[in-house]
Amino acid sequence: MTASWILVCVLMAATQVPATLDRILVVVNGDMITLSDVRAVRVLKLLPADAGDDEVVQALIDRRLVLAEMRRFQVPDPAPEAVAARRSQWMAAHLGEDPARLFMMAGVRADFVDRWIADEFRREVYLQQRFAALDADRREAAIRLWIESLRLRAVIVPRRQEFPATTPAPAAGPSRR
Amino acid sequence: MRHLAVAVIVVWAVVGLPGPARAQQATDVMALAGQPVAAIAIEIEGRPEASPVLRELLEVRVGDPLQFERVRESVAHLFNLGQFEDVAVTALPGPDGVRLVFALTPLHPIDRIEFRGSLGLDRRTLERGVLEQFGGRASAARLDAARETVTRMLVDEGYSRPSVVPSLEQTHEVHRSTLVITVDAGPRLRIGRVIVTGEHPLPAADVTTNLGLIRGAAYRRLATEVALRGVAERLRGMRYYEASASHFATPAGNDLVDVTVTIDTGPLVHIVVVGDPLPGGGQDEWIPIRRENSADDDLLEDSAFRIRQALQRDGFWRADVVHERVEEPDGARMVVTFTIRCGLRYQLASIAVTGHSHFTESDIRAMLQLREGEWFVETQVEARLGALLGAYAFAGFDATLEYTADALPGAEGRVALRVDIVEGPLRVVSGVSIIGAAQIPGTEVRRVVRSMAGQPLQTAQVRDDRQAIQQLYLDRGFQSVVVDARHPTEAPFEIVYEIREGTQTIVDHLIVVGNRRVSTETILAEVVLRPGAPFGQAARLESQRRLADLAIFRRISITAANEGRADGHVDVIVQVEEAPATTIGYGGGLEFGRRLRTAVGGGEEDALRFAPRGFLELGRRNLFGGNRSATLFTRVSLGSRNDPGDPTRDGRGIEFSEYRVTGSYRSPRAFGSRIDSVLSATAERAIRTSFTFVRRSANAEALHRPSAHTSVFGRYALDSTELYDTRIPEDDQPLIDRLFPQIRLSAISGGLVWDRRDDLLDPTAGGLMSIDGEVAARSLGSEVGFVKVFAQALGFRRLTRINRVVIGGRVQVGIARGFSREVLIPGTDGETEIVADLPAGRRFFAGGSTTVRGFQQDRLGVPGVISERGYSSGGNGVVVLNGEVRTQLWTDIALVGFVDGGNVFARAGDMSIGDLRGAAGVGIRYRSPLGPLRLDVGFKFDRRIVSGKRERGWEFHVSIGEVF
Repeated sequence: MTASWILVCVLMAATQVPATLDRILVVVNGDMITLSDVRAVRVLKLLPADAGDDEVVQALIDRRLVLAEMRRFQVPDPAPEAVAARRSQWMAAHLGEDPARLFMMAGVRADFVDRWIADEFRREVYLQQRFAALDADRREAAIRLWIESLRLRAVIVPRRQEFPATTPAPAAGPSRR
Repeated sequence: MRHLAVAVIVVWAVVGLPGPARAQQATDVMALAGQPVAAIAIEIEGRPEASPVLRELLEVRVGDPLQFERVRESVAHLFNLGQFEDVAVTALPGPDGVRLVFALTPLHPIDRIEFRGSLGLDRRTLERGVLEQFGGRASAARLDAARETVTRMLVDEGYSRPSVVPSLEQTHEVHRSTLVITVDAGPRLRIGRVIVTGEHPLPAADVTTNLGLIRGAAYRRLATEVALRGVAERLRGMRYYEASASHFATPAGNDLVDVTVTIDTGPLVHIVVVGDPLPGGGQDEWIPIRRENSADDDLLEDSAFRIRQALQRDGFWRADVVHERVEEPDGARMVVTFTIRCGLRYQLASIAVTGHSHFTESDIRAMLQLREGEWFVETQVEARLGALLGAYAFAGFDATLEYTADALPGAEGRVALRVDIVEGPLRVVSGVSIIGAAQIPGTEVRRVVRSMAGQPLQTAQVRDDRQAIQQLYLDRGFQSVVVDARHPTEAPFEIVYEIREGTQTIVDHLIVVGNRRVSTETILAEVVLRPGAPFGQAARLESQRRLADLAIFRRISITAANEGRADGHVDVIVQVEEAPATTIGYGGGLEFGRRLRTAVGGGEEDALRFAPRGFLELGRRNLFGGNRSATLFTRVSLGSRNDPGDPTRDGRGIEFSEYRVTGSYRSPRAFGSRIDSVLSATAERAIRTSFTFVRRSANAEALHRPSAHTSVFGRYALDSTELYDTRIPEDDQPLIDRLFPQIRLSAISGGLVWDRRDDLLDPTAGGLMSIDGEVAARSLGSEVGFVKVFAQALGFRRLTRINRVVIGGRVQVGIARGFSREVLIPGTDGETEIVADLPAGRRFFAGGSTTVRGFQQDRLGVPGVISERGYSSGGNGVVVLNGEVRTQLWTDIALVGFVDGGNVFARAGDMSIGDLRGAAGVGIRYRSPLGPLRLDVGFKFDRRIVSGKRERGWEFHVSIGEVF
């Protein structure tokens, strides 16, 4: 009987498919976007939860291009209080979850979310200033066009046509080991 | 039996399950987080790789709990190496932990371009076209762009429907790709009929022949366009400045095209100038339509503007220049008329200044540099008033001013200038605050701020302070720092510098890419950035400068990868492109001239000299993986024989008359030290008018720079020269002895230089001190022994109150002593004497353009050093003193006054201040692209009797570069 179970275990192990922990999905102006970047955004719910993997990648490409463009203009960091307030809102969306475990699953440091939020603030300020002359509807369209022009100027090289499936965000609520 | 049943079930479960069901065995990634790492493997294209360099870049370690974040960092480091297009990490759980595999897919850069198929054009032409598209680098080639380029080239040459298919063929032993471009050019279009339309003055046959438009010839669209541009250019040269020429092709069946050429000459352009004459210079200079081959409106408008400006600079304040184009109705001729009205020439009649109290009127007049009676040039007045505002700002006033220039009544042009100044209150800084300095202590930030409480508020200084703070932060790696400077517009004037520091960028890994022969260690030795230290701007630029100084790289860039990480850590990529390791230079020449040769009947005669010569230089850099280089230079010359003792051979026939072979080896940072070393050896033979010399020398040099301003050097030199076939005039003998000492010298020398001059060619501040010594001894293999020390100090200072004046001074002192040796007395029967002389080449000389300028070159010395005929044999002691005042007259011209003193003494012990001879004089400097061109005239303080005659009282010198 024991031998049978050992055989079962061995066979189970032998047939286990290796998991892809990380890989490069796309290179944007020499800067890589990885599978772990997508996983982090999904685990931390930093983009709409219903977005598919490809949508997340496209959003990350756009964000990377806008932030790179902003670096030319030295957009200042927001006030720490503003970042803290938005972080509280983000925490509310993860009510009951252990933040340390969340960051570990996302594969990021604890200050990743603060940096993300600060960049979001800077991005909003920058876009607000750049397209200040337009009303809300036209601004959205103008921003889309502008990002499209950034894409045209950029060198975007996909490294893989099909994205390996990323693990969906864990459900809200207490986590279990 | 039951066991067998279980096994069958398990095997069925694993093997027999349909695919999707089996996929459910896939490992849950999230479940792996925190499990111990049992093993790490690296694979390149499926093959195990054990490179320690790659392992070093991994942030995950065996035995540590698995952290996704560290996996991601490892992927980033590997990707930043620039050698892999993909990095994938897989994990397989096991009983003892997770086994990780980093699977790397290498980049396969293109290193060759290959063309296959029916090309239509020459293979090299196509390859050149593709490489030009990518800056000459095959590695930068892209498939789609290569296809477009080749297609365009073929279409331009008449292949209307080419098929161009690019593809990559990879090799995996060495990760490289060949860009294979398969071409089917297809049929080529040929010219059917040629129709030329439009009237023009060029011969019709000339046009079609020059265009290459011949029935049946290949139709080359681009070449035709280029030729047509030449036609238009020729017409513009005939004053048809609006000429154009174009063509189009229409299909005529059977791969033929009819070509229609249209030539439109446009009108013949005439320029007419009416009214007053142009300023000095010809019409072509002011209205350069002939030179520019164009008569467009921009050029005509520019011409009118420049003429108007030139007239106004000459005082024609109200000058007016207009131009008008009038085309004749038939369009055959166009007349451009420039009308010039100079008006009166205005002088500055009076200058009135009001509202000033801080500066006196004479101060203001001095700053404006305007005088009554000079021509009135309004642009000059505005520039000077701008400078006056600057002076007020420097003094702490936010002054404003207005000026009026009124033409005075009368037949003569006279202008009254009135300047109304509103000085405002003196603004004094009440305090300086620094806000936001957290990661750099405020006290440290304050040290770079020069504005201080109690000083006048200077907006320029505030701006400089802001930049200094910003630079401090940039040098500490705060790349997104923002510094604002503000102060109120009314008292109290407290200056506030507000800093938003942003994230400090820290070097995580230093990754060197692109090096093939130069070792990574050699490169990193020059990089002053360090892992864990800030990615500062100054350190980055200094690293780039040091790498550039190695002179072994074509391109160098130091950039940060994966910027934007929350903790500010970045991989710093040091990317280099190595220059070719081997360099070859060669050349040749021909020398014609006349030379003396021994005549067959006795005496000497002139003969033609014909000497072909050539040189070859071989260089090899990057030796042994470091910045070491070796060069071999050879030069050889064929010439007529040189044999003064044999009139039948001298000047006749051909021999290898001259040669020079020099080998050198340069090793910066020799043996891992900070000492740069050079070894060199030379052998040469050369023929001069009155002698032939053979010289052999070897040198070993070492140089160390302990700081940016200090250098220490040491040198060993072995030198031996022999003269042959001499027919040297007696007067030239001392100079020949000096330049070609016919003895073997083996000497060790060393020195120390401290240099703080602000400009090596034209210093205005700072100083230099140096001391060097040399010892030659028979124990070192020298035929004579001596010791020699030479020291100098020089300094410069810009007079603060008068910016254009620089004073400078120099002191030079040299002493030497020969070691005693026994020599045979000529003409005696073996009698000897003890001498302690120096070889002529090591003695001191003075007088001339770089020492004491009242004397001819090397004609200064005490009696005994200077012969009766006035020639110097050199001495064992020298003193030279110089003082100069340099005044900038105009941008490139300076006037110099100088006082020089000095003398050369037979023995160091004879040196005496009382025996110095002096001279004073003036000089002119012209700042040329080569350095200051110099003309000095020096006058002796005292004139003495030499060769029975009184010395000339003055000397002049023309030279390049300052005296000191």
